[in-house]
Amino acid sequence: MTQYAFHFDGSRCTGCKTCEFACKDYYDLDTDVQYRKVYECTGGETSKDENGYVSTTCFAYYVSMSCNHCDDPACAKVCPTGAMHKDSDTGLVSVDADKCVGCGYCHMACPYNAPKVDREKGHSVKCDGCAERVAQGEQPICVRACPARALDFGPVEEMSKMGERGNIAPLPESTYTNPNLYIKPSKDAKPAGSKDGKVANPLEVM
Amino acid sequence: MEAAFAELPLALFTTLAPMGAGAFIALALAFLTTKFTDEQVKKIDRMTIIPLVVVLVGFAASFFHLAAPMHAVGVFAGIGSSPLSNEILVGSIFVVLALVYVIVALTGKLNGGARKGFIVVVALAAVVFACFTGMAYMMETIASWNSPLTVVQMLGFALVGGMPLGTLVLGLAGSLSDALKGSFKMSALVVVVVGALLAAVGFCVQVMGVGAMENALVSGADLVADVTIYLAVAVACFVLAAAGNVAALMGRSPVGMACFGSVMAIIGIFVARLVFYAVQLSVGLSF
Repeated sequence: MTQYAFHFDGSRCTGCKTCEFACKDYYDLDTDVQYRKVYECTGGETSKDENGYVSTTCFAYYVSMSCNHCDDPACAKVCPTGAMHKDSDTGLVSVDADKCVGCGYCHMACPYNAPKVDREKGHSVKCDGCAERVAQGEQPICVRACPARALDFGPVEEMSKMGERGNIAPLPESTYTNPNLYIKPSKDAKPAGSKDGKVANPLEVM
Repeated sequence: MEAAFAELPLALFTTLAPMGAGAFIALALAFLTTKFTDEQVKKIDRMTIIPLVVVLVGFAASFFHLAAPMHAVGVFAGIGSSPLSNEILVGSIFVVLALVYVIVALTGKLNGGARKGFIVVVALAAVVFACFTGMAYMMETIASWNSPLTVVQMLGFALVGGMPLGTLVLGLAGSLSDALKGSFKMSALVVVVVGALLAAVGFCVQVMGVGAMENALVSGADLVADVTIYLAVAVACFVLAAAGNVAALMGRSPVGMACFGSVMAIIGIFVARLVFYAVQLSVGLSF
């Protein structure tokens, strides 16, 4: 088995969201559905002292993330029908639409906001790692589209050489599900689980 | 609370099904402590359809939550691994037992020891079902729900809702006054008070605990501030439900008071369930 993984280089990402829209375009997703999201993580404050000197601890950085095809996917663990499953050859997590009952349990359990129930389609939907493209030797469309080359995808042995496993906020500690997302943090990035920052664009990503 | 209203079918299911199941606990207590006449038993059996319908309406509501109810039979595939599959398995066993009990009882073929044994099995299944309904929400990745208090409050809801409903069944069957002459009165009083305590304490401590949590999207303190008034309404309803049941057990307008207690329980549990969904707070990027 080859476990596939994503790599995200926070030092290159400009937050342009081309990855998001390439995915939406490729899969013809409706306005309410997106498989890849760019989280804007911001925090800190600016203050002025008695001498008029202004100092700031403000920070802002981006995290582009879709499904992390975790080693211990919380979504598949709680799925009552087995529709949410991890492929034994690639390690990619996907939904079997013929089995899915659309209960939304996967959506509740996933700490990375990946699956979502599409009531029109009648089942959960999420990033499947562009499994068909990968089978044909191509990169996922989001990786292919990134103009800054901040995204990469490949066998976990290669991706893990380029960064740490899911180690920055707003992600939770990686121990919950062992995500296959390896990150090179930007200078401003806070550690996973940090409470210093908030997601500044919740309406866009939730 | 807006997000909670998206879970209306689940809120209805988790209100009605455990409450209807809890009524069988009251009936088990009545049959274990009281010797009813054949005529009284007949009437009780006819009225037992009421809690059964409450349970079935709850299960029917749960189907409206599903995007693909046609695939519902597949939910048993996850038994052992998915808490939701486990809950539905235990719930289905309870429904089958309760249905068979009511049908056999209505045919008049359930007498003496067999009836006592059967109703005790149904009551035990009701307790297990209530606990598994709570356990279905215990997930490591949802910090605000991942507490034994989730199970405690659900068991409390089944008792504080089920006892007045079961008392109402006895009252409508004209058998409550006889049941109150024996030890049913004291045992039912204890169970409904314990149920109200489990419901109120389990629910309040769990929800207030969310205030200290936060993730990158939402602060638990903000979530709790939004639901405080509803939390108070739910607890007041639990107290009134138990008070109504106690009044009925003391023989004061038994049918009216048991009915009042049942209605208060439905309102209280329903509001508590909405609050529960409103305080969903993930360890990561979800709420």
